[in-house]
Amino acid sequence: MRMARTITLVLLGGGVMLGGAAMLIGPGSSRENRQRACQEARAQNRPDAEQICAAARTYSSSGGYHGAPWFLGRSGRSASTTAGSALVASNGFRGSATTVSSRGGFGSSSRSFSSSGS
Amino acid sequence: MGFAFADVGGEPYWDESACYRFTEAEIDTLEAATAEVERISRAAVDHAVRQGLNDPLGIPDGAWHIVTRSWERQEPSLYGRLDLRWDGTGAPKLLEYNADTPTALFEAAVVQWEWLQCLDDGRGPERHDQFNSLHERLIAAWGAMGLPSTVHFSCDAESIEDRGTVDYLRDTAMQAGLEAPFLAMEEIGWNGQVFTDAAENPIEAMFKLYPWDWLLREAFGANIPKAPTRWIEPAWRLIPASKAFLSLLWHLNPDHPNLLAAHLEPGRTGRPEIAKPLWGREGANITAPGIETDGPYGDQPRVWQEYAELPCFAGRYPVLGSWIIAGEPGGLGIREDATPVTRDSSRFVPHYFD
Repeated sequence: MRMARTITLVLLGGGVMLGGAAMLIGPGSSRENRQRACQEARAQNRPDAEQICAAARTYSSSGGYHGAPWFLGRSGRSASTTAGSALVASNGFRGSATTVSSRGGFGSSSRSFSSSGS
Repeated sequence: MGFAFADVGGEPYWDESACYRFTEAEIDTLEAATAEVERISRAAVDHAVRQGLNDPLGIPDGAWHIVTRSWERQEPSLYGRLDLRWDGTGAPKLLEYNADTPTALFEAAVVQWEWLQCLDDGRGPERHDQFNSLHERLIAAWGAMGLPSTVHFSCDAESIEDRGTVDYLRDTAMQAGLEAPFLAMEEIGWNGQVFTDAAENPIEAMFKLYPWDWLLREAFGANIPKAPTRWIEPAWRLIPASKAFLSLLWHLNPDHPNLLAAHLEPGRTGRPEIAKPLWGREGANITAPGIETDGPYGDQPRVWQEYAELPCFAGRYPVLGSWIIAGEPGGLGIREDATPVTRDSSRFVPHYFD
């Protein structure tokens, strides 16, 4: 059982940094999530890095994705039940360049029950 | 160590004012008990699938085919944690199996190992050892699961503890050569065919620190059978995650030394009992001699398990969390409380052995 052993962390910066990393992720901080995803994607030279970073910019300029107020305001429907393609049509434009996913269909139970793992 | 949830609600969570010291033989006992419970658990899952036992397990008919398909495909489990009661004498007893969303992993895998490095003025590693190969096992497990090159990770982003656990697992996945982006549960999209991330990339594989019984209650749960997503933990982990599984284990292995008697009706054990809701968490809504906790699970069916009060050392009640990585014992994390009920606020206390 006894062995020479060194634990290496590549994302969390040696373990101590977990505090700093996780503290960024407070309530309503999905903008930080996306910005961090952008930074990680660029650091890893991912082929879709610019796509991820573009999404991060879009969300931050719209005031945050949680609740998606402009989405709801234009369509009058909830994000959890309305397909994105239908929303494009309801805005008065025809056709859709990309399929837009509906979101918000997961996550509600954590508001009803304890959010922590077991 | 300065990890984000070293304090919970202003109270210390990481507690090194004391530690647990084991002998090597005691660790061997714990390791063997863990392997044995895992062995009989896998057999019990197979029995449940073959016999269609979803109803007594509290799993609705509509979700059962997701569970059985996952088992028949032998989708691998990454990790789980057995909560054991043991005072160093007799056989360790299974209190419950956290098979779906176990936490307290980073502190068990990394923080208590770093604590050992600092013990005895830095001579801890020369003098002592620790039941802990979690980090290496996790990295190896990711590489052996047959996953696509990108695995998305998700949890309730507002829970710092959950996010810390997920970020640690992302770290181990990245060291196994996987891409490991994060998105919050409510950010998961559905485009009519596949689940998607915020950039509309298909989610081929998803590690979710989010209980299966919650997923299947929510609006997008109906899409799960239609989507090709590989879920980690896989859906068959619903079976051992149900507290009714304790009763199934006892039914299949009566008088097993590592089990406590458990039934789906009260009074069958012939001893004082603890009643637990089938999908309860963190000690909520349990009833035992002299104990009744509140919580949001009061309307759920229950299992009645022989009550074995936790041992008490200097006013502290420890639960031994014995980790299973890819089906094999991998390490130990100990949680203590000032009461016999272990909750999310119970402190993590390190250990070593000689």
